[in-house]
Formats: sequence, structure tokens, C-alpha cells
Amino acid sequence: MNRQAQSSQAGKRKNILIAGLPTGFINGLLGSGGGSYLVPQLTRRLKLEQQKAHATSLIIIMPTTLLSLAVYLFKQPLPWSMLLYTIAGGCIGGLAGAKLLTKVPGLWLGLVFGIILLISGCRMAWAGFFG
Amino acid sequence: MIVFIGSILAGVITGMGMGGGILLVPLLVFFTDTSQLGAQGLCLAFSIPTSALAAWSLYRQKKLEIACAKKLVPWTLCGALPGALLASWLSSSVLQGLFGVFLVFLGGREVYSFWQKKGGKK
Repeated sequence: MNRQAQSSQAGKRKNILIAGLPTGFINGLLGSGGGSYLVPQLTRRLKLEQQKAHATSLIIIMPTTLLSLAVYLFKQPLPWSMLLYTIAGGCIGGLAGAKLLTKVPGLWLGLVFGIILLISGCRMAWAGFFG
Repeated sequence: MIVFIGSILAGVITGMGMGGGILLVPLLVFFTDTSQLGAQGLCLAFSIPTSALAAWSLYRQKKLEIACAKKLVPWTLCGALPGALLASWLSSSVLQGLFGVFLVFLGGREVYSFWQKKGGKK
């Protein structure tokens, strides 16, 4: 039943470190995507079930994001007016998404999401390194 | 307008815990004149209220593991500081390239896991 109790204290600490440090680093370096690394770590290493891992990753990302943002603000002012649009859209979508999370399996959504990521990723890498 | 629609989509994906903020950065970089670091910063600022909303909704569904989160947060903070410093030090185009490579990796992983799950069902 309680699989966490079986693993040793040292193993647990190592797992937390491997799950936590890169999450923060990715979040800081790329501004997003820490959660994409964190969720599978939470399910595999810390044995959370999928939905709990998703939910828990959200609250772990919040303070991490605040710190990254604070560092960014020293170098780069934010486009505030655009931020208002994105937050308005994001809040509407976020509420819908959290409700859908418990109802939709997300398999096909994952495929569509993956293909969009592949295409935009190739374009960005190309523009960044060769553009 | 395209930014607004994209944000709703990104919000849905964020709410489902798939890191929808990651869609916002290419959207902003390609369709507006936002710089790479500006887009990433905006994405960070965007994810705070949207995650808070999603987390609140999931909290009421009793899906949060607060104890686990408390253990992890100090480590994510330790990682975030050098990451963010590096981001503000790197040139915009190198950062964009790195971001692209990371997107390709994530996209490949999504597609791969789709094949795996699809194959497992047959």
C-alpha cells in the first residue's frame, strides 16, 4: 500500500533532489516547462498518481516561477498590456482545463500538443541557431 | 486577438498539467515583436495566476500533496536562481535555439507516449 515507506530515507532525499533541481533550472532558464519535467518525476520517483502529480506540480512551480521572474525583471521589463490579455485568456482556459483534467483521458490532446511542440520547436531552434 | 485565443488554449493545457505556458513563448516570438527573454518572462508571469486558479480547483478535488510540495520547493528554488541568471546572460538567439531544442524534446516525448499507450491498448 504505502510504497514510499519502503524506500530508504537517503533514497528519498536523492529522488527529491533529482526531481527538484532540474525543474527549477529549466523553469529559470526557459521560463516554462519545469512542470513538463516535474510531473513524470513525481509519478516515477515519488510514486504520486498521475492526477495528484499534475496538481502538486502546479503549486511547486508557483514559488519557483516567482523567483525566476524576479531575476528576469532586473534585465527585462515586462510587456504589461500583453500580459493582461494572456492572463485573461489563461484564467478562462485554466479553469476549463482543471475541470477537464478529471474527465478527459488526454491521449489525443497529448498527440496534438506534441505535434505542435515539434513543429514550433524545430522552427525556433532553426531561427535561433541559423536565423 | 491571436494572443488572446492562444492564451485560452495555453490555459486549458496548463490546467491539465501539461505545461501549456510553453506554447505561449513561440506564439509571442513568432506573431508579435516580443523578444525571447521578454516572452519567457511574460510566460512566467502568466503561469502564476493561471496555476493558482488551476491549483485552487484541484485543491477542492483533493488532488494536492502539500507535504510532497514542501519538500521539493527548496530544491526547485536552488535550481531556478542559476537558470534565470543564465537566461538573462545568454544572447537572445542562443536562448531561442535552446528553447527550440527543448520543445522538440518535449514534443517527441508526447508523441512517443501516445504511440506507447495506443500500442498498449491493442
